[in-house]
Amino acid sequence: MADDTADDLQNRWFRGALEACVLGTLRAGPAYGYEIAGRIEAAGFVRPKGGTLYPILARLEGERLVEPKWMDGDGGPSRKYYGLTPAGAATAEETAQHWNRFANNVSALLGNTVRSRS
Amino acid sequence: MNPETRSSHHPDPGYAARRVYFENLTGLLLAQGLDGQRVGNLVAELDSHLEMTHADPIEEFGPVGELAESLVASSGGGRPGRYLAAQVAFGVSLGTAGAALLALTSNLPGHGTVTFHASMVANITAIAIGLWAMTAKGGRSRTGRSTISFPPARWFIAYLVFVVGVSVLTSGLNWEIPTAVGWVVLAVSTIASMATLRTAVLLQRIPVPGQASHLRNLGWGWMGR
Repeated sequence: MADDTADDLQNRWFRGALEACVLGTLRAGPAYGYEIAGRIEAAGFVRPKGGTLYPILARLEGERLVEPKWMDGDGGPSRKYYGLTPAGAATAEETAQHWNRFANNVSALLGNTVRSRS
Repeated sequence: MNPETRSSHHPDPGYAARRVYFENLTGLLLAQGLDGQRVGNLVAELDSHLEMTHADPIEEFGPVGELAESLVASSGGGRPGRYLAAQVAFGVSLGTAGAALLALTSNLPGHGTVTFHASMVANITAIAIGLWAMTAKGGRSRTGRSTISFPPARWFIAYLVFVVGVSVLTSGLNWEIPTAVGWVVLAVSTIASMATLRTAVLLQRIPVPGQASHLRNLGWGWMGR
């Protein structure tokens, strides 16, 4: 039950951070949509559905933060790989810094709350 | 051609559902003004995703109308409606050709003029717009696998009221024109309707990158069904 609550909470937070996570996964190198979803799942989150993921990729592409390139799959379908552009790499770096500050602030608040209760 | 018929030779049993989903998505993205190249890229990418997940398109991407809206918004919006403009232009030119044909065939021998009924042009245009609206609304259906549904009976009542209303309102817009002019109008409007029909078809023939050759020539809305 407690695990369910924790998963639910994490999934709610994750929805707000998905775009940052996509940028983060691409720091490891170019990837196609399904692979990006797999990297996110491997990081311990629920695998994002295509209906959520592809509009985010379309927006990042429109903002020229990622650059797409079609490549043939190994006997499978062609795949559209996304790589970070220089602007995308800078945004990913900036996002990481903002996230660290945000996470630290939340941790500090939660830590204070815990101390004040004890 | 019926997607189910086409899918009978395809090894993937989920192919028909995907084909219907992507046909609807294509029509909606085009209707919302995304250019063909962008549409082809998106559809091929989503198809490639399904090839790998083997998931049902509605489960993976959600209702096609919501996905289309989301993709158009994420792509910075589209330019409204070359596709819609082509369909309406087709309706107008077909209506004009029909009106000219009616005028010419009802001409009494010995009369130098024919009566050109403007109401016919108005009604055919209304049919074109109505069918387009039906396609767009059907594509936004949130339930069921098939996203194009037969319209409810009340739509036909509304349509009949609209047609009668337009006919009454435009009954005074009939023109007496020389028979020779009637023939010219018939010829020009027939050529125009063929050209606009071809334009509408070409706007839905979208370039598909990669190996997704099975996605070429995705059906084109209501006329492809």
